[in-house]
Amino acid sequence: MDERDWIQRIVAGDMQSFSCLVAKYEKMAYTIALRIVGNREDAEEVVQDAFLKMYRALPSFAGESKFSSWFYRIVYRTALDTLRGRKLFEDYEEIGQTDVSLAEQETASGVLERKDRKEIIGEVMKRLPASESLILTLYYLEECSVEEIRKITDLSETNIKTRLFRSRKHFYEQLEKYLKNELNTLHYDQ
Amino acid sequence: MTNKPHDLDNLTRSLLEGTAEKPSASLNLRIMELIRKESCLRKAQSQPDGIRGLLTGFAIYFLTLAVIIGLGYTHDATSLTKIFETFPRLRLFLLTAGSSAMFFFFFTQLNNYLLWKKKREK
Repeated sequence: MDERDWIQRIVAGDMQSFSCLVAKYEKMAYTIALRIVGNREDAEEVVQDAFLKMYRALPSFAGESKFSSWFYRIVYRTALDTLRGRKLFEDYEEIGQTDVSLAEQETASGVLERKDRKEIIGEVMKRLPASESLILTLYYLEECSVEEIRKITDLSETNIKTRLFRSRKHFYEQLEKYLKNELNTLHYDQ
Repeated sequence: MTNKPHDLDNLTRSLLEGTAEKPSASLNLRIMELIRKESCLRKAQSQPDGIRGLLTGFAIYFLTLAVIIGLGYTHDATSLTKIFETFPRLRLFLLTAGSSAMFFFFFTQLNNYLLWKKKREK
């Protein structure tokens, strides 16, 4: 059964189909919320509110965009509301920036082999500004296209591409820093 | 190792793969509980209390009218004034019954509205 069938059934009052939607989107909704609000309790609150808003708005979902983009936009807006006026995407200056260096890439490739990769990436994501970890999550983890990210965040396409480039650069820089720190700690312990 | 954007995209994708955060186990249950409550509220809101009350009011009104006209016909009355003349106490009875029904109808609707408002606030 595809999502459209689920949606039709939910609108007709079928709770079982809604629990399928929850199971499918809960984790990603939580990840998006966590990237924005920064703590687990608030992120869970955001996810609850977002699912409730989605349930209320479902009869008006026209299916013009992908359901996931439509729902992530609700999560995004709900999370922004909890920031109470704080801006997620600060204005940025158009300055030239070098891409990820070969050294940074090689260090990162080593992480792929490690069993604790998820923890390392989780830690690095926490070190990045919320806007950057959010955009990386949407693009690389949820595999949203630039157009889908535009629909979710209301940023322009150029803006998204620039931010993606920067976020990726910062991600690799932070990853290298994290691994160097880890190495230094090991030397210090020995 | 190359520095092509495509390779970098693939490397980043591989690094981030499976790193979605896991919420607490109870989140799913809490969401479903919230939705169940919302669903009950929606059902309660969708019941056409107002329309049903209005239809009942009209039914009572037409029934009373039918009884009066029926009584008039049995007593050869041709107009409402003649009916009232035939049954002098009917006017008083109708006034009492009509006002009681309207008060009852009004307070029932008011009660329904306040209950609905309370539920909505919750």
